[in-house]
Amino acid sequence: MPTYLYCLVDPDAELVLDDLAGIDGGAVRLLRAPTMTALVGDVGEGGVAPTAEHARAHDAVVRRAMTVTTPLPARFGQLFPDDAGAAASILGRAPRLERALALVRGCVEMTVRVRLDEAERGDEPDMTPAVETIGVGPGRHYLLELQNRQKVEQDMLLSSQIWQSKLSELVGGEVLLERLGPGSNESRTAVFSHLIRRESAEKYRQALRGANVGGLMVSGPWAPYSFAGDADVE
Amino acid sequence: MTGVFDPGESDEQLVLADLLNHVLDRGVVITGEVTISVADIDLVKVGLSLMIAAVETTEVVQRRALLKRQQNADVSVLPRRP
Repeated sequence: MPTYLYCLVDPDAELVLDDLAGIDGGAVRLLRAPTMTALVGDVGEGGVAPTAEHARAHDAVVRRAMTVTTPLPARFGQLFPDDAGAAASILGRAPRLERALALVRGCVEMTVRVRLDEAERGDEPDMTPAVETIGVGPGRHYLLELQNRQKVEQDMLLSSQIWQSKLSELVGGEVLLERLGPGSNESRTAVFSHLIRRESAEKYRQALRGANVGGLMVSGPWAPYSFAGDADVE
Repeated sequence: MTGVFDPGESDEQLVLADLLNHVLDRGVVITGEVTISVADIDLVKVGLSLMIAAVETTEVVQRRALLKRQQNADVSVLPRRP
């Protein structure tokens, strides 16, 4: 039966997993290595479908770890032939994973979604299409639509940069690391992920509430998914 | 939607979108079989494009991992699901 990976934690984390169920109700157990511990579970042979229920179950295990320590969340869907296979893969990347754990230790992630079309417009760029495409042939229509999409993307990028600066003024003192995206051109949304100290979460929220700025949507604290890195990328 | 949004108070759909974004598209990747079934998935409609992007990201990671394994021929590769 394949071994499913939920997250990694420090080896001295005191986790109680008695009543914790993972994906499809499977039991969660600890896989101990010298410098880190993995939270793993059993799943069916056919893999794990990316459903909302399964995503919640994955995050629930990660959040249990968050109650006592800072987990390094694994991306959804990682399977190994068995516990030995999982342990071998983890140990093979131990130095990188240890660095990643050290980076996020004591931290949580906050996510800020900015609806650019609801935000302050005083200094917002013009987001109307560059060129009208009515009444032109299909080939030219395609090229003009492409040009318009590129303009929207450029405007979105500029707006995101403006909001990056605004957020820096509001919460920059609490932010250790920031990641941008992916947002959505269709919904005109930019997404910022902030790594902050765990104890700063309420101060961070209050700073955004106190600013009373429209168009902001804050969620968190999350486990530091956006800052967990990719152990296969140098 | 205006103002600062706290997921503990409103809009489950948006929280789900954030959840999917985090869990499916972020997090540490350790070489293994990132097995995600695309057929017969049961997703909430919101975030479908997000899901597609997440699957594409996973496919990139899988291809990268497979290439690396092929280059290191001493590592066995599990067969892909049909």
